[in-house]
Amino acid sequence: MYFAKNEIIELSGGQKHIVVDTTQLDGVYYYYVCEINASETDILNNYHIITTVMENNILFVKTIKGDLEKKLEKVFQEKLHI
Amino acid sequence: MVDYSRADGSRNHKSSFDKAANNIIKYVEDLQKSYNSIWEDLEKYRKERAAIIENMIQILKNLKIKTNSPLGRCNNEEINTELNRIINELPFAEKEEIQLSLVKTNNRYAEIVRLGAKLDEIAEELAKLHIAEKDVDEEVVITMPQAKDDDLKQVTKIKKAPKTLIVKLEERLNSNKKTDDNTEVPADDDLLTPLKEAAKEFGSDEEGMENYLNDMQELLGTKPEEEYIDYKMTRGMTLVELAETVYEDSSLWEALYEYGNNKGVLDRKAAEYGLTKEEAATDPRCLEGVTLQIPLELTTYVERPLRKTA
Repeated sequence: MYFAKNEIIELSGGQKHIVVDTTQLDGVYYYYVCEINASETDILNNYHIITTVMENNILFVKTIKGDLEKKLEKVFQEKLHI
Repeated sequence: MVDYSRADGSRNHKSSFDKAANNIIKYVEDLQKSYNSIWEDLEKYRKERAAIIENMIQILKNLKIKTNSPLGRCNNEEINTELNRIINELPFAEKEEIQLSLVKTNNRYAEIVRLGAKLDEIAEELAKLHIAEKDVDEEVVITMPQAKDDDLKQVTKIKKAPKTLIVKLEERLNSNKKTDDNTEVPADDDLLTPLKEAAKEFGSDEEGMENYLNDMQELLGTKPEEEYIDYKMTRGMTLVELAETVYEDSSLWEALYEYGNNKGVLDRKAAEYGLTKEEAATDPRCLEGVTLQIPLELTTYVERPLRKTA
């Protein structure tokens, strides 16, 4: 697991996300993240589910889309009661 | 130069071309097969190694032992350094298990490196086949290892969120939490908190506070649900006349003025004509073409002074 709950992930594009929760499915970790503003003072209402990809020792994140996103959304909604 | 007008010349040329093309196709297919087969082996070792590391992380977590860097983010050399540094602090059973896991991790890492080198060789073989793109002056060489997914974004920094942000996130999540009937209702305590605070200011004894809260809850509980209709005004009517027509009480013009969106609309009209609120109520120009919210039941709230208990 690369990220823990309540950690801030900063991406190459400058976006920042806070890890809301994590889960594991078929041996892969998924992270429910929420975008935050640049000064890290406010929560923006923009939630994503991401996973990590390691290439040449560089850590990347990939946004989950499609059916898997729907499936994981349910998992997180049940976990967080939202 | 082949004489294509002759059957044997034309056929032999085609046969030769097909054979060369098939050889190249077969060569690329063989490369692809080899690549896929090695990659699958590599993936097997990678997943096994990741699972072993995950297990070691769990062991250390259970023992509440912290590493300088999270193991999940370390490369193989760093993992060895970290674990060798702390291994003597571990109880016997866990020490044995970590040592064994470390050997397994290193074995798998060696396999991954070996297979990775093979994949690089195959990719280089494929890259030797130059493919010139149409409409592009420069030749494009396949560089498979550098291929990147557009969806991937590089992680540049990871850090712990400040407490204030975590609190805000929790508040946001709590506000989204489902209740049993799937409606978002704030907890009773949340509703009563401002009332309790206000009550404290006006009465320190419990009875006084309770009376105050009862009065306030009664007031809140009996507040009518407001419903209205949007009505576009025609020419020539004033707000006072409208109140008289609809409610048979011209004195309700002010309540109508203050109701919902009406205040904003009428304030703008009054400002447009340089009128006061009272003047606007009797000036028909202020209602021309505006859409007002006409409540089905217009209730006026009389200001109640807060009782100060002894």
